[in-house]
Amino acid sequence: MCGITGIFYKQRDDGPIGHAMVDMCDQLFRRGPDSAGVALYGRPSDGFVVRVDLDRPDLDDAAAEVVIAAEQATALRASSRKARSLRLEVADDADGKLADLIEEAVPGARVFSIGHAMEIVKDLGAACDIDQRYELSGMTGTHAIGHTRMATESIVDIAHSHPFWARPFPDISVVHNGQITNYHKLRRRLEQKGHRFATGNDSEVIAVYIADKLEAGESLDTALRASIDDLDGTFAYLISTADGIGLARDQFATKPLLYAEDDDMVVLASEEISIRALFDDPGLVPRELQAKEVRWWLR
Amino acid sequence: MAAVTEIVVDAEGKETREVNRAIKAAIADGATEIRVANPVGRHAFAVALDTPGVHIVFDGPTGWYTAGMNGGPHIEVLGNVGWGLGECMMRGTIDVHGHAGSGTAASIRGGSVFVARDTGARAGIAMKGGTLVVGGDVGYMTGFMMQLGTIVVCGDAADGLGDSMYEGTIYVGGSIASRGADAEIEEMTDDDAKEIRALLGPHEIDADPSSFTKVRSGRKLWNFSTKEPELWKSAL
Repeated sequence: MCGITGIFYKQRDDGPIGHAMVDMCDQLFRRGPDSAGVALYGRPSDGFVVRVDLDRPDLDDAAAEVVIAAEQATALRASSRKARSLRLEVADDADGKLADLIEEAVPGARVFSIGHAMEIVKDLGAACDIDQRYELSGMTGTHAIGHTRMATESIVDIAHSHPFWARPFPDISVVHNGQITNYHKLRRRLEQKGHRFATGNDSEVIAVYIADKLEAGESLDTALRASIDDLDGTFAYLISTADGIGLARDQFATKPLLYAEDDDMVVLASEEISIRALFDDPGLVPRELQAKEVRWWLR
Repeated sequence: MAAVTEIVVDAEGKETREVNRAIKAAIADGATEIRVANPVGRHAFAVALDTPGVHIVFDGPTGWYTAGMNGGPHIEVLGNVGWGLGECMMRGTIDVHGHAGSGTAASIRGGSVFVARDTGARAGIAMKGGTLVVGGDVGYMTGFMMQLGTIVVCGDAADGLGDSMYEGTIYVGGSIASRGADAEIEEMTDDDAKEIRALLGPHEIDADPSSFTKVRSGRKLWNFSTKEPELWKSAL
């Protein structure tokens, strides 16, 4: 099943996006009890923020090894750790190779995100539990997307949880509800163009597919519209960049997706119950996307 | 002891089953007016109730499968509903003041469902009787494989209207983006206009029945024909 959520502030740089994502994802727990995750976007910095998952019992040692690996690749500005998520602030991403350099140097290290504005945190269990582990509620920013996962196409583990980073493209992430049935064909096509994949999850291909088009100079609108025809299967997905959020729904309108909008923000979710976690104004009516519909909100 | 005729069930802090049991207990105690407070879009409320003459009002939006398998009560939602509204309903009435999600009135056999605003995809899918009236627009493939019953759409219909319908009738007041396989337009008759008027009247919708388009099955998919392979290729 899976649940997807998103929030986009039209003006604010310090919107309570962490709190919003936790509350909204919690309302969609029954859609995805396996795992939950968020991609949070703050005001873009001149450097990069890196989020590394440490899949090891010796977290302090693993974190120290990642810090050394990062320092060898670029100038490290800051580092901090909450549970198994290590957060680094660095000057650059070593020409797109930083994730590979860290993972090659440190066993058990998995780079979940690199971006000027984006940070991905995900783990097994409910969003409220993940919030306790990683203190997401206090995080502020411009926009965010979130996910609760009920695994159908690949294993239940943290790396296969959403959101997926469009590695190595900074700041691009996706959350998806559905199944991409031409996943292998699309993945092969993108791999032939030089792209690589971190997991065997079909949703990851959406992120790389869109990033590939944006890199080629296409607009987000064009990329979203092309995805309706190029992606086979069932999908409602949210794609996020440093500038905002786009979405698309498949030709059969199989997976639900609604949004509500006022002068300050846009809220998106699989179900109204999640939107109502933020909007309690009964006068504000969420709208459901139609089949093949795409939308985006950019700053 | 005098029968209780009106009761309020507050859904806040209660599990879905607790709410539904409270509704059933109120009906068993003789309540004929039940108000459910704080539904906030939660799912599977008021399912499988079979007592006629009971009016249940939800004070806000409800989630999926609201009033599923309804067997008698008049259920009213003062907000939007999720998908599967009234699925497999046998009798009774459902009024939604807002929008409804996908699969509205799926497989109903009887009774009537009214949605004041729009519905999502596949409204009235596999209907086997009853009526569905939509005040606004309907989504993709509305009336897909319907077998009996009547759908009235006051707004526009999205692509694939009436795809592979066996029987039943769909009336559309607005535009039809496209019809599905074997869904044909038929000429409106005086009886059709009367039926539309009768179905819209209780909802105080003032529409001109003569402006509606009537869609019924072309019956070409009832039997497989080797002479019309293209028709079958286009059917899902």
